[in-house]
Amino acid sequence: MKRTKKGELNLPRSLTVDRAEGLHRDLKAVAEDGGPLVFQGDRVEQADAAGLQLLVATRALARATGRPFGIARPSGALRDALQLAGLADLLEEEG
Amino acid sequence: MGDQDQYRDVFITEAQELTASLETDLVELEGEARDPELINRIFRAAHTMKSSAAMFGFPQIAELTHSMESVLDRVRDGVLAIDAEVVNTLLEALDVLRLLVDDATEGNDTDHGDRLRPLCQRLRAVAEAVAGGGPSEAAPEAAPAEGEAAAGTTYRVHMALNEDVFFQGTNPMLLLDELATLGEVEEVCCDTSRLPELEELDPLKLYLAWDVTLRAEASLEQVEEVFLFCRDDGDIRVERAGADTGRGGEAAGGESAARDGGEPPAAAGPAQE
Repeated sequence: MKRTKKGELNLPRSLTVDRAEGLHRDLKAVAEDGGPLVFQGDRVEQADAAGLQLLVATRALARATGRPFGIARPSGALRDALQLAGLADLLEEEG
Repeated sequence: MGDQDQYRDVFITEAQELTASLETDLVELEGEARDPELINRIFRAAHTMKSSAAMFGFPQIAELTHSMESVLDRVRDGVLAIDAEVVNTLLEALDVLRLLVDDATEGNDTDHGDRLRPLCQRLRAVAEAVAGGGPSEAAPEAAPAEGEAAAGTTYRVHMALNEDVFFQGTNPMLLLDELATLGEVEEVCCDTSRLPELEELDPLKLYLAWDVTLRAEASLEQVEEVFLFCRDDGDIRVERAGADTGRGGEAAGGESAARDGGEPPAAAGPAQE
């Protein structure tokens, strides 16, 4: 997971349990660089509870370390998944 | 075995079980059973397979079960009568579904489009044939049981699944989605208090739990059926709220059904957020 020129991070297409280990590694890696945890969500095509809980944990880390957290341009699939899971507040965070 | 293989295997096991369940239920339907519970069970099996197949990369199974679901949805809504054509088309679909699940089990990527496409067209034609025709006398209605509020009943659903449910093939999002198909989800509260810090969490374990307020014209048993295949996989409770209890009201002390299966969820530690 690399930062864009604006410092944002691109979420992958699948935030699902079969990709959760790789996503977890990526999130831990970007968390170490100390930068803002602001993501672009426009590429996300599917998301399940395993993927969403990683985003919740990342937000908690951002709050604990005083760093910005946000999800910019969420795809319809990501927005729907967050809504279904009762986690739409993840989209209300301001980077 | 990689993550993806592991979860494909879990899907295949679930697909085999659901196919067997569909077979039993469709044979019962063929025997002129007109039980709304039976129709709902068949619908949910097809719906679950559709969603799981799409998620785990089995597009032919997803396409077929989607077409089956469209027929069953009409039957469930009382728009389509169950007749020989409906039953025979569903049984034919089951034959092809079994073939597709066998292929998935054996790792075959055979394209069954020649058989699948006309079959899906037929299923869609069956589903659409009666559009605008109004409810049929022969069609069962997924109506609430006697005594249920006709305008809908409010249910409170607590779903705290065991941490290892992903390995059982249980997808909490599908369960939430299935609940939503029963009526109107008034509120979904996600409990994140069990979630460890990012560094510490195991990405293959589930730490989230949910409390859902659902308003539906469905019986308690119909809501419970959503959890038919995972009722032993955690702390699952469906409770009917008072008829006059609206959003955010107190939970009713009335009829409820606890599904305490496996271990109770770990004691909630301090919330991470």
